[in-house]
Amino acid sequence: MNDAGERRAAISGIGQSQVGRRLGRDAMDLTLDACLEAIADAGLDRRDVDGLATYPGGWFGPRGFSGPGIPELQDALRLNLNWYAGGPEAPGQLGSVIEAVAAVACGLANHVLCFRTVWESTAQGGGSRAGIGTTAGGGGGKGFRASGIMEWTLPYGAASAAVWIALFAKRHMHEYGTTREQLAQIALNARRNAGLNPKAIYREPMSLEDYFAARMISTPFCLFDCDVPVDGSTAVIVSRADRARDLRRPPLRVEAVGTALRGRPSWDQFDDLTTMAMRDAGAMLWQRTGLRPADVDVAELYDGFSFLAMAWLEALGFCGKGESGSFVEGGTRIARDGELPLNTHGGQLSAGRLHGYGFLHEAAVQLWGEGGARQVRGDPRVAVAAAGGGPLGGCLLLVRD
Amino acid sequence: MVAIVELVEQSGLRLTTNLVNCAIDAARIDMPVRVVFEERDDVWIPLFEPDPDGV
Repeated sequence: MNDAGERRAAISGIGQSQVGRRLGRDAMDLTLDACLEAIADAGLDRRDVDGLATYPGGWFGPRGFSGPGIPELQDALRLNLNWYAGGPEAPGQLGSVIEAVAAVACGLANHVLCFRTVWESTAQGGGSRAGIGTTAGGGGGKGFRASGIMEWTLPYGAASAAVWIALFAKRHMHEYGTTREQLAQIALNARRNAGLNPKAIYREPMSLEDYFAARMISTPFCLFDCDVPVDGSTAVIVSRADRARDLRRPPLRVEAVGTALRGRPSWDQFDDLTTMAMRDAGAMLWQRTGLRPADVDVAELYDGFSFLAMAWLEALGFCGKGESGSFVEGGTRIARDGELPLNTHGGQLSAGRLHGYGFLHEAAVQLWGEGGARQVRGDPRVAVAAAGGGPLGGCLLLVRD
Repeated sequence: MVAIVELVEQSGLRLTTNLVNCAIDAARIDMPVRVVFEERDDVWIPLFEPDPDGV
């Protein structure tokens, strides 16, 4: 199916601010670094940018979860916009990029600046984590009432995705015999790659023994199965493919996207507790292209928790249903020199929780051959970037022609 | 201990809840459980414990 509209869009530039723990820098400051770098990287001037997209929108969620929103960045960069979108209800964190793809594909904009800013490390560094209901609404004492999704989980101490996703991982282990040794391969692979990424947070080598020595966070997730909060901003430019051809870089054409949401979009009512919304987003992606999973040279798959990367491997058909454990066994297949290099920058587990956008950024780095010491060999031309867990999921297949 | 419990009475209807009166090592996926209620302020919270009579 080669008339998919997303083929009229391309990634033309990328940018990323300083990434680190407790940087103490203003979120707008980080955002401007990323955005100006992306605009320059594409060979554009800010007057060329006529679209703006972000996830999850300005100052949304707990402190540190997001930075400036659309109006603030439009003002700071004095952009003249024809189209913009910012909000949390999208197909995952990269849903904001896919919205931009749709906008340029139907001619609403020529060049859309997409960005995602987090400053969770600085926000949380000064005290306990904000946003967990027990601290957000009166210490969980008498009179406190949880609301929304938390109404159903907080009374049971299931206060975060670490708990919700751990239940999926346990179910996967129960159904398919998946082991913690296999789960560990996602973390160990990320750490090996992070050692070659100067911007990664955790770069020192990690062994399987180190992994098992770490404290348990939510069974079966130990500390190294959970990503690391950081401060940082990432930006990408989505351009009309016909306008991208004359820019500075070879365009990375959007070959296909996956945005489906089927079944019951819930952490506990989904029909299959060994997968999530990614199942349908992944399947949809392959319905929109003649390419197949075997054509993918690099996979950058969300690992906010290690199990999510395994679930994405299955959702995108890199292995059969329930087979991600044996697929990653020993780590050779997903290594940089393996048949499917995975999370070549270190993922969120070791490179930092840039919340989805880091995977798309790294996919572009690899396709442009600029990975330095971590560059995948063999001139990669096809990459998949995917983000989300639970009821959130979205993915893009990129091709350098 | 956090668990997801599916009701025998309605297949596919699940509660995120706590498994109580059960050692962590004794908890098993698919083990039969029964509801117990715990009063907190003016709310009765449904929890679940192993059901020795369950099948």
